[in-house]
Amino acid sequence: MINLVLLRRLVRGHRIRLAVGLAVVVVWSLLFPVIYKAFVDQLDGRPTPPGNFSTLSGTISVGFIHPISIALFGILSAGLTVGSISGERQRGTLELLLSRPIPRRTIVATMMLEGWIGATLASAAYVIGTVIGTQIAGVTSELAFEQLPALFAAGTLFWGSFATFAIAASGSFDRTPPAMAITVGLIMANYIVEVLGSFWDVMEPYQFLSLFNHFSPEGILDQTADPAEAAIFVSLTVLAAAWAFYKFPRRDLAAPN
Amino acid sequence: MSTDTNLAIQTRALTKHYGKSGEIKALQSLNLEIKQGELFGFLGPNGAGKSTTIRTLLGFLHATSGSASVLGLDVVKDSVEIRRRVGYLPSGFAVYDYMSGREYLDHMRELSGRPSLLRHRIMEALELSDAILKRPVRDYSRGMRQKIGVVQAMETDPELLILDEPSEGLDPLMQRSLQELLLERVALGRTVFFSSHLISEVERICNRVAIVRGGQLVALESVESLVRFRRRRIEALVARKPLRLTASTGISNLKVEAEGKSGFRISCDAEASAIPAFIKRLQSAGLRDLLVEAASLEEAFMSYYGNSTRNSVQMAPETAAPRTSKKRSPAKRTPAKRVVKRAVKKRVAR
Repeated sequence: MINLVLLRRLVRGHRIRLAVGLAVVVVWSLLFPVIYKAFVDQLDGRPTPPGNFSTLSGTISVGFIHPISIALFGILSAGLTVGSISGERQRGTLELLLSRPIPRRTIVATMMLEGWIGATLASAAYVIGTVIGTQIAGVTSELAFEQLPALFAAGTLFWGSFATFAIAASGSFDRTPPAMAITVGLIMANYIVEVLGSFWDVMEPYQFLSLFNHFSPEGILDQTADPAEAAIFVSLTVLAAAWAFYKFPRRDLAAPN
Repeated sequence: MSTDTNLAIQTRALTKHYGKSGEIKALQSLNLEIKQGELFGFLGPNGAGKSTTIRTLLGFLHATSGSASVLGLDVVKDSVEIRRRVGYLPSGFAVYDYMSGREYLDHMRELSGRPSLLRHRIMEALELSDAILKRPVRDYSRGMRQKIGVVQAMETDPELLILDEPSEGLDPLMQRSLQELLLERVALGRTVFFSSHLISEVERICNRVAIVRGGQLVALESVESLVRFRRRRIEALVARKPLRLTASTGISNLKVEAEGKSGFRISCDAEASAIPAFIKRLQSAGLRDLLVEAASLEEAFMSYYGNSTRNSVQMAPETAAPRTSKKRSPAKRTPAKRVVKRAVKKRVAR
């Protein structure tokens, strides 16, 4: 189901993006425990005001769903898959790939796996950066180490589902821009609903519609998150994968312009 | 579809329409049979349906109706197995720019799952050195990329080579080397199916030729038959006005114009068989300059089938093989078919 030769080439083609992106994620994520420590130090024993920065888990959570994080994670997961099929098609290289004895579903599955590898590495980088940050800030005692695997798994699933959506979009178009627009649109729409729900009473009842609303790093670290919410991301993954496996093998691939 | 295992490619009423209501008729009821060991040319102007045919054979496109088999395997059910045994070079060949030539070839060979048997032989014939292969593909010229394309298609020595305009971007010397390589493979029992714009290339190496136009097969001939009807464009400068030139058989579109005080300029289209006699007449009129050009594919095509095909978009597939088509009752003939019949009569009369 997976073609290792193709996977190796895909990862190699994205190696610089992966290396730089993962390094930035590590640096970005280690900032938040440091920010938390600076915030607590500034309070200097006064009562902690409510808000995300009042706890280490809350601060880590802010880092995880900050727009910069979303851009980084997006580039390292959905960004790898959104141009995989459509990009090859646009460049004219898909023809020769398809001329090899590889079923189209294998191509989809391999490209999808690359997106999941990106999501996995990005989540791992975030967790590693967080651990380094708590060491630097000297707040390791406040970090729920036993919850880090769950945070890693949830982050992987969350961004892996977007990577799967992106490959479904990529396999449905001849050019990358429409696939990119749909994928970025999905992420942005969900994020905007989540953010608006946090600040605006009118939107609050609709916040549950956002995928971001069901991804709570803070809840995972505090053990208050509902594990059943993972089913939402599993469902998105299954639906997007089913579409990609259905649609791409049936598509007519006329000669590129 | 029952398939003949001696056939490398077989299509039966293969049809491909594009668009929501199928308004673009890319292929219309194409019937082809290519034997194993043949070097088969597939000619046609741009948009004629050559690439559509190839892409349908390789499973990139799904036929609207009809069926096709490659190496005795169904193009829909056995697509993966077909691709295991076929080498393919697409038109407008594209590569992964971040790779070197060698990395690209190794990658494509690994994807094909077969060992490289002919790389060095092809590299030698196409003058591709190891040093060139070490360079990134993005630095390659158009011709160099095309050579890489040829190597990736042929290096595993596939049973069938499907080449979509393989000479694109190659200089004449390399075109000749490629032709020799193809002849070499055919001599060893491989089959080559290639599309081209270049009638001269097809003439030189192919056993048989199919011409497509408007998605229809309009001719399926041996190369000798095609050449026999191929016309040349002649332009000559003579000292005196030649006599009885119009009476020459096989000469058409004759024009004689005074060329200042130096003589007369003569231009015409000529069938190959008429050329020697025509040149003798020109010599008797004081021949000073002579240009004999091969007709373009379009001209050859038109001289072969007359102008009828230009307008007869609905031409039936039977007209593609006038020598083998069954007799049909006049009542069943459509106007388009009658036009074609006239064209065929005209050709026979010639």
